[in-house]
Amino acid sequence: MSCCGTHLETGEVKYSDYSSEVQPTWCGGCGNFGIWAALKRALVELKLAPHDVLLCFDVGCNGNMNDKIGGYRLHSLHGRVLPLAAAAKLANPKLKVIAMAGDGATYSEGINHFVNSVRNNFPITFFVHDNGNYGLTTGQASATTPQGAPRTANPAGPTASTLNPLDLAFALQPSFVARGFSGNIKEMVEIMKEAITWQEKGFGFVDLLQACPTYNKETTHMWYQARVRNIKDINPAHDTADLNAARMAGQDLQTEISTGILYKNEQTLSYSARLTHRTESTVWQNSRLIDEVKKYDVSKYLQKFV
Amino acid sequence: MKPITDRFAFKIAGASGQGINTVGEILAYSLKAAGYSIFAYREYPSLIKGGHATYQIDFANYQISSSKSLVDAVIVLNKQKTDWHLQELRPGGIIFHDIDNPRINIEEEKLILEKQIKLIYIPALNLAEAVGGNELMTNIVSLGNLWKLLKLDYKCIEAVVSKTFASKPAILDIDLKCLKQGYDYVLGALPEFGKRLIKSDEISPEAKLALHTKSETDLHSWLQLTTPSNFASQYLITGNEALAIGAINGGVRAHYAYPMTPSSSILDYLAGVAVETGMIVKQAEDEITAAAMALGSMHAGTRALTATSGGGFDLMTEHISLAGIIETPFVCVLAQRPGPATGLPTWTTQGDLWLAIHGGHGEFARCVIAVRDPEDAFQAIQEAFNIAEKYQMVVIVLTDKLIAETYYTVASFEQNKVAITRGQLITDQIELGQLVSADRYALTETGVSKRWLPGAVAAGYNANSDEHDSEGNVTEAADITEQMIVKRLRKQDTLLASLPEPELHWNNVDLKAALQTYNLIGWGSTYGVAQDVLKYYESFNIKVNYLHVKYIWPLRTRDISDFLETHQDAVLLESNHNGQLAELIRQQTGKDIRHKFLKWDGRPFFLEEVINYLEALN
Repeated sequence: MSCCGTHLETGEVKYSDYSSEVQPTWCGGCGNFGIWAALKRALVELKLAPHDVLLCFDVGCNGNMNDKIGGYRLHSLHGRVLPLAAAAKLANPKLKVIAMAGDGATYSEGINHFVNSVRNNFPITFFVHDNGNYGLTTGQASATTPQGAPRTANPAGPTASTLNPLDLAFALQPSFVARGFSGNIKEMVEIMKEAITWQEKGFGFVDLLQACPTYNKETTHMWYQARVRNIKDINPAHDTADLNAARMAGQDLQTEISTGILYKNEQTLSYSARLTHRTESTVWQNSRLIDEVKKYDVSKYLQKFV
Repeated sequence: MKPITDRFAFKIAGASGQGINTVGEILAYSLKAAGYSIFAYREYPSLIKGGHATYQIDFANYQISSSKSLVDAVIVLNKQKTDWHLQELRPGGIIFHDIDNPRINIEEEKLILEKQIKLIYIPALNLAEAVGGNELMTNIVSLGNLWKLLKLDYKCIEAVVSKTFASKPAILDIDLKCLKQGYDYVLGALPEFGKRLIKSDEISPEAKLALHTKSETDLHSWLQLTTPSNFASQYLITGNEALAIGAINGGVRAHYAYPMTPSSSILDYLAGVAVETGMIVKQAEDEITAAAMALGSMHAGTRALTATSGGGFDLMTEHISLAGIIETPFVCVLAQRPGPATGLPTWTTQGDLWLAIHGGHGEFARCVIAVRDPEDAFQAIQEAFNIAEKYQMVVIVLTDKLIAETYYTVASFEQNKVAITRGQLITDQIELGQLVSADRYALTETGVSKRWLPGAVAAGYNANSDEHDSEGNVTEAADITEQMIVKRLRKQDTLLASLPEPELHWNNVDLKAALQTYNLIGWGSTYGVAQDVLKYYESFNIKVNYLHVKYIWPLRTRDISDFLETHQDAVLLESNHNGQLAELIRQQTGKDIRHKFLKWDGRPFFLEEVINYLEALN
């Protein structure tokens, strides 16, 4: 991966531009393979060259993708990927910023960042690799581990209630909410493309139900496969602008699990759009913070202290 | 010690939320307008209403940068539980108050008589009400009366009051009338004592009456002001404001922070002027987020600042460590207040020097710069960004509550002193095209590698929190790990070679003719009191040298070592218990400092305290 791919010469984006010489280290049957493939395909189909994108990773099995893919990558700390990714986007709005994290990072260690990123409606895209437990630290319970499912640090099953991440997001006046399944690459590609395209409108949140063959014996690949169904197939009349309908559709995690894009709010302004001191200023509205690093005359500010 | 006769101090005392800051600032700016140098220091509890707060204004016709222990007058605004501040009043000092029936107990009476303190009563509420004012404006009446006793130009204070209330035209007119009422008031009226039950330890109404001054002729010898100088056109500004404006000057385009005294006024100031600067100013959900966002924006390539105090800094340390390994520039202001934990939220300390040097897990390069005053803050914050970008490292800018919130008089802010330098940041498209991923963390002699920004049409790289090879791929190889740790730490050596030695200051006394010599060493806000010690001794023909350490880490040791070698009697001034700089110096030079004047009660060094300490050494 010492070179930057052919896109620099040809201007065309190919799947191989996102390839890395580093081999995957995930367990056989891990859902990360599917997410990895879908992500690369979504980026290529959107004709996004690696230099247009900043891929931000959290720590965990998902984060181990950081060197299995090309382009600009930022591998952050456990639970902390969202504020780093959001602030990178604020500094350079031309970048497509994609953040990824696991269920442990998102719904435990960094749940404050998740809550506040939805509330702030940061213009970034967020894919959660939700495999129902902590994989990399060898199988502890997470907030999405099913009740009664034994895990290493919780041999009798989780002692806290199980979280439905979509329900949490719906309580926060979200901008974009979707759910995918690591076994359905085709559907994930479509969701990812739309979530990434949504980025300028706000925070695109996608919970990806993912198999963890080593530790999660309850919600396995086959278990999910038998239950997931695209919202359009469940209800062809589903209105993605209807918050209550979307919230109801996201409830069932046991029998018929809705996937696809459940909710889109065209009205909510992104964080950047809320910064009227920039959006309404002829000086700053089309400017990027990264192009503004220069000396500024501060005489008028100092004068007030005479 | 010989008395200080050429500088003066007033203290305004009352409950928090009573408008002490407004009155204090009016008096401070008015005295500056009259031609004096000001040092205006606030003490207040961590409360919005109630509690006891003070605003001390020191002034002189030469530059000053510390508070005296003793003041010439106290203006008491408290109506309920009166604290007369008799300990801080110099003999012959005066107390202004407008309390109709003040409580004065036997102990207080004894002290008032002993120190020959005079009480002055101003019927401020009556005077205010006569011109349409109310209780809130009584402070202005008292101020007007003080101003008359000072015999300074009325226009100075009139202009400051007008400027202060310019945004509230409805009350400006009444405030100006109240000021005039106080100014024109002729002392004579006395309070109507004895309306309430007298407590057992309280003195009689007659005794209270006896303590009060009935005529201005009694006050002739109270204060002999020195001739005003030319400070009117200078700035009167706090460290936080100067630092914030310095950040604007130096191209900082984003500020992410979580409120924590004494750093919050940086956030408030920058948010207040964001419409003009266009800066993104974000109150984050916590300090972890604030640090992460600053780092994220820096990684993308702008200049982003975060600021906090000790507790918030604790939360930031994991991102300081992250910045260390991904070699993304990062700048954090650490405004010190006494800990541990919540500690004394609104007081000062120099207790976080070790925290600044050591906060964050793992071994990586960093720079710690200690600010000495507002002028220095304005430049140091810009220097911090240059160092952060040039060496791709963490820079921590240490201030404290004293610098952050005290008004200093500053002659000028040189706006072009620190030019923006961004080190090996590659932006030229031809150069970008030649880069390979492995350039990003390439092993170099200086430790510094080429840096380019996400979004640049160039080879990608991985800014990886895991140990990594030169292009950022994860590695657990022993040899690469060893090399990378060394590479990153090497940047600190490269930086150290470019840093100046500590600055030596001395007063204008001929060493041969000097009666005596004192040798001081200090850092951060201690600079202020040290400067005033130098000036004080100049008139007594006593030589004082002061070695000021600005770059705390990495530490240049040659001059410190020489200073301690030459001056076995050197005295360290530090606002902490452990002598943190002294310990660092011992660690780095093997030399101990014999005399340490340490103070950890949350209060700054007052001028007389330092003088008394030095003279007690003889």
